[in-house]
Amino acid sequence: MRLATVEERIVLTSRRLKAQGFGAEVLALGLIVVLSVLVVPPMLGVVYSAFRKGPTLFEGTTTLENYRSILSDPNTYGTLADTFQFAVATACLVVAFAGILAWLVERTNAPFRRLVYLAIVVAFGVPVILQGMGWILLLGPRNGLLNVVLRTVLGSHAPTIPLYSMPAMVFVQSTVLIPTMFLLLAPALRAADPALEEAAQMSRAPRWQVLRRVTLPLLVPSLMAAVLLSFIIVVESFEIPALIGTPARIFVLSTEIYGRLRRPSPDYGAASAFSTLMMIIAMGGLYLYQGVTARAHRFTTVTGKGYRPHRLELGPWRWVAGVLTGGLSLILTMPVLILAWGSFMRVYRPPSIAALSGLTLENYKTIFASSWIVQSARNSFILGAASAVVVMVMTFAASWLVLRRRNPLTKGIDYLVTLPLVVPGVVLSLAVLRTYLVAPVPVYGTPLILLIAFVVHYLPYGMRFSHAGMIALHPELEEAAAVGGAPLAVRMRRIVAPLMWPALLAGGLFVFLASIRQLSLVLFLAGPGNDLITTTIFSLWTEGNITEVAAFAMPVVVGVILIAAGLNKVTGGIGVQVDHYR
Amino acid sequence: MAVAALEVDDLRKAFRLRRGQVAAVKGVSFSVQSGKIFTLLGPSGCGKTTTLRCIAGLEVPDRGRMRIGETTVFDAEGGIFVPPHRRDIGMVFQSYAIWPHMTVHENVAFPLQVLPRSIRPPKKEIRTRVMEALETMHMAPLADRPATWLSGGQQQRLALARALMANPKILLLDEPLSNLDAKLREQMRFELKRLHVELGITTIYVTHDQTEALALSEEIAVMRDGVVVQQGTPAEIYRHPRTDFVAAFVGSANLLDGKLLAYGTRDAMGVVDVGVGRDLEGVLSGECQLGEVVAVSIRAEDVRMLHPTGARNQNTVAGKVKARVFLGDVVDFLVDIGNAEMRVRSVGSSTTFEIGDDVLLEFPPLQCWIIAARSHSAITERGET
Repeated sequence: MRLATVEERIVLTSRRLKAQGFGAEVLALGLIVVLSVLVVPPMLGVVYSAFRKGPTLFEGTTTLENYRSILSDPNTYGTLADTFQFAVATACLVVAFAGILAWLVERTNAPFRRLVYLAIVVAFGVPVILQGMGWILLLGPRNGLLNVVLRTVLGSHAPTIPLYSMPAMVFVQSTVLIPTMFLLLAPALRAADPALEEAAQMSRAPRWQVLRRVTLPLLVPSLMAAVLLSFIIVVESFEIPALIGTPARIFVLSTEIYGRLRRPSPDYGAASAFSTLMMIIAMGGLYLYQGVTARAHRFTTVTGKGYRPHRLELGPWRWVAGVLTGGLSLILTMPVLILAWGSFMRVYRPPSIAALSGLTLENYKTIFASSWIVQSARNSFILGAASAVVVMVMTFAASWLVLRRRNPLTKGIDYLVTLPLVVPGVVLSLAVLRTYLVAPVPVYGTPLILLIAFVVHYLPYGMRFSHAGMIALHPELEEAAAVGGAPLAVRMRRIVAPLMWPALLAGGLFVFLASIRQLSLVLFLAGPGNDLITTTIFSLWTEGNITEVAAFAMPVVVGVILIAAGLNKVTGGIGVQVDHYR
Repeated sequence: MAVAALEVDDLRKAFRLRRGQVAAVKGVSFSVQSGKIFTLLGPSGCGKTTTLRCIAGLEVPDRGRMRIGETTVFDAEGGIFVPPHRRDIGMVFQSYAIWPHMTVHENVAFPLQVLPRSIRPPKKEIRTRVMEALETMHMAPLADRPATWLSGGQQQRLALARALMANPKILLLDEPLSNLDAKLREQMRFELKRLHVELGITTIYVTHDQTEALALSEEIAVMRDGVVVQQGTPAEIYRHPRTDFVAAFVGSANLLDGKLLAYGTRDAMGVVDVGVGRDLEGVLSGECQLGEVVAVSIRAEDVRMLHPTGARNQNTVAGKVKARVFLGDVVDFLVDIGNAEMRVRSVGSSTTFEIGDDVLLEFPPLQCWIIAARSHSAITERGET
């Protein structure tokens, strides 16, 4: 066999590279078509729907009537005011608590540091809807454990902690968000370059000056980012406002939309108009968030060798800190503990010695005997796995195209993948419902419509994992294979995919876990035939089956925690999964 | 004699790790005269940075005493520990530790702004002093820039200006040049020397780079495994290494293992069998007993390369050129002498040798330094750094 000369090889290689470029174009084109079909119709649908009056999207008239009716209703302004009050108060409270807790755990010698981490991981694994139910069992006016304790200690005239009120709603939502914000802030505190503080010490600054002039100002961007992210999450949240706000007649945008659709005659127009308001708020929040995180990244500097920062010796304050760390750990785990208690009760009674006689395994038997409940668990796991695979495959291709082939087509892909970030779960649920009721594909009422909603919703999150993994992959690794003669498909299979595997696995596990916990996204899409764990829990609760909910919750919580622990192991730190907004 | 600017006595520090303890500094003592540049030199993990951080007060030592001027800043037995901000020390960190949330001006002004109110200069004076300091560092036009917009070299000068702002008694430098590229490093070396001449401030310098250490210091302490193995002027350390470790770590010495056969023709000379057929004569460094295993250290630039036809003196060995590296001002050779390879650095006529040439190496007896071979791991240690 004759060996090719150098010139021949160069020609061959350049031809090969050209051919591969063409393959990438085809891939980009295919992806952009799929993404457009998935992402664009619901987005346009919900906006269009806000300007339509009629039974379905295409019947009726185009009108401004929806906006006129919601803007002339004084209740709308009450809802907006309550939404902002709820979101702002919660965001500030949660960041204050999570920030102090993260600082105590990462930078001081406060007691119970391991316990805090344990409580955070457990609380992170409990779906929000279950945490809310736990808090109702703890704070309910008549049967709530804490109110019962209060009455036992202080007598029957003891004041009742008012659960169904704005302050309680803020408190419960805060405790629900503490794990997420803690996991966001702890790495920032841990990674802070200790040399910056030491340099201040060497500049003769006393300890409080170091804290005031160096440590705190350096943390401001991270704290601001956490506040804004909390604000967005709370505006979009549904579970706590539905469980606690609605009985108290406090409505926020998400429950308002839910309420408009759960009437005997659903008002799609008004719900869509509210949805556009919610999207505008989410967009504004994300815009500010990106500005703040850009600033935060500017603050990260090259660090020297990894000297572990000294933990601050708290001295006599250590016990005050212990009350905080121990107390917050208890607060984070109390809801799941009370649910565990409730799962063994035939008729729910708050924990007491007398109630011990009523312990039973009956609820677990009922749960596992119910084909509807078991089926919903199976649905959740299968759909979660399917969403994870679809999202990661698509974002893997998307991230490769966006980073390796910069052209208008791939720029379009980047936009399409990121776009769903501005659509809150409730809104996307409505948008998908509204669109696929008129679409010429019969997916309504099947698991497929849930898959579509999950994929659209989690595309930006999956992209975050894929993008991070792809950026860490030096292009020369692929180029070396290309020059070595490997065509595109081989390079992807043999070089890119294996190296990206940890990022894809972490992203997939994140999508899987998040979709199992998801409620607001599937509110209007799941029903008899395609029920999920969360919707089943919600219906059981609405029917008053508290003890069965609790029994169903236990295996779910244990499963989710085990998978979360697995994710932690794969990604080498649970931190990566919460910093998902780009 | 005047009081030493810094006195360190039997300093010990261990770190508690998950599994047991690691002793980082195992009894280090030295004193630094006022106005000198004193360098702690050693491979990574030798305890030099820990020693520096103990002097700064950023680490609390387990044992020992430290005095800055006439003030005892640490005494384990007396229970004395002066916190870093009261030690009157300036420090430049390896990462520079420039505060990213402040401007250039704010970074430099900080040490004055945090002084106790009673001795803090008025705002106007702070401004002028900061501008003066930036002026001497050629950074005045950058004063209002965010500190993160500076290049590596500028950040380095900013860190230096900040460390010197409050006129400290001692300046600590932790590998200040290691994050700069080669050209800038050379430039900053001159800059540091110039600054030291101008200010005359007592300086403790930590580095793993022997060239930096030799170029900058007036005194060097070579550290290894948490102890000082040799202390002296740069010339002493370079010319007369006490152990094979120092010989290998500082400069590129050839080390030949052998056995001390006899005392030499003159005082303090010895004859060593290095197993190449001919015995070498050299200067005895310490107490080496006859028959003992020793090492002969000779610098690459001290070996002379001759044509094989030349006269064979006592300290000559035949060899063959295996590699040749042209470096501009000098040429480096690798010469095979049978049981060892010698590095030879030459200038002038002997640079014409080519690979494969037979040569004769001459080791001038006065440049051969016979040391007790205490450790044979010297070369591998060097490879780790």
